[in-house]
Amino acid sequence: MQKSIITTLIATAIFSTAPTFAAETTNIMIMDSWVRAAPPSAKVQAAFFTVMNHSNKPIVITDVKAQGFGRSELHLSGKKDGMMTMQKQQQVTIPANTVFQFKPGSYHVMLLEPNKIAAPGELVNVSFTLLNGETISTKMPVKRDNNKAKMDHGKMDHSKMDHSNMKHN
Amino acid sequence: MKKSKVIIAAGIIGLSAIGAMVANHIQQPSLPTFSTAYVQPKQTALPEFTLGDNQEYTKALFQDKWSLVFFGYASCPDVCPTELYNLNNVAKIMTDAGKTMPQVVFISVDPQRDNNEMLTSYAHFYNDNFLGMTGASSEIDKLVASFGVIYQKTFLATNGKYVSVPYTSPIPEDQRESYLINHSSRLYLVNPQGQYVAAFAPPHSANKIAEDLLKL
Ligand SMILES: [Cu+2]
Repeated sequence: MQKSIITTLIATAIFSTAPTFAAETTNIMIMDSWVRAAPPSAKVQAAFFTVMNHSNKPIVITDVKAQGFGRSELHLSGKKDGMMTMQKQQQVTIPANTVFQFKPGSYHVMLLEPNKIAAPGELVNVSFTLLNGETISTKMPVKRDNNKAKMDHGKMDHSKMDHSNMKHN
Repeated sequence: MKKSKVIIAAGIIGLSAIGAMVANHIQQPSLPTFSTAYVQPKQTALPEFTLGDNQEYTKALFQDKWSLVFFGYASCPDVCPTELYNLNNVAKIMTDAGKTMPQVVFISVDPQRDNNEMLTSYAHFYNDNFLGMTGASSEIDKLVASFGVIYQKTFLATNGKYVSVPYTSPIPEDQRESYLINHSSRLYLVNPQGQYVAAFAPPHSANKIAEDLLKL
């Protein structure tokens, strides 16, 4: 725990120029993380990120906790019998030397029982427990996928549209 | 004598075939050739229904405008938000092209946890023009049947396995707030006559959906 806090601080310092926050232990790095902004009336949120496993061994995430949420779970969205499904994962294995994406329509962290839905601009502190007992923490910025469409053509700002998260399954 | 009977029979079959084609054509005079939307072989007139706290949403909701209908629930962290953000992108494209965006109707199949007030604010978070609504499961299911939507409640049983049951089935007490719903994620197109005419199958691309809607 102590070690992971220190490495997180180092990682944050190293990657402070990047727009997203990164956490790093010896072998794992979490980057491009974001919590999807949800309506204040929503009951859940989802977190997405990229995990880089630099080691020659698989890394197993066994648990996740998020500040401000009563419950957090590892989830996988999928398709079954013509329906979109979602299943809680007891653990997620990141294969050796792999870049593994938690993304819309696939693996994600489901954030349940919010004290209050996290708003755009806020940071959610998320920590992961690994099978080796190590914990890594990262602060995930809350972002909308896109801005609301306006009926006023002239003032539309497309520059803020984030197309990178548009993938659907 | 025998021969003429055959001719008459063939004639009747031929005429009724033409009749069916004409009827089909009359029912749907202006449907363009879509690139990604699947056109329904038969246009389905939507049934009578009442949704909303004051039963303000009825069949009339679909009159005189094109609509896009999506079924989901507010506790859905991934599929429904992705869809609504995506539809907001479709709205952007339509607006930019100077065209009218069809009315977007988000129907929650989860009235046990969702209510109309929160669904309105839920839909408005994505786009001020989007509608969010729910109602009695019996009313929702009338629409569900018309569109061919499937959904089921699913929960994690004590043995660690997922159990799926019909939505209105009883489930364990401790799962009352935490169940999930498996649901179809097609996007349905309803014409201004209130008929279900086409559907967009996932994966949904805003550009492709807009491309078809611009033809309307
Ligand atoms: Cu989930």
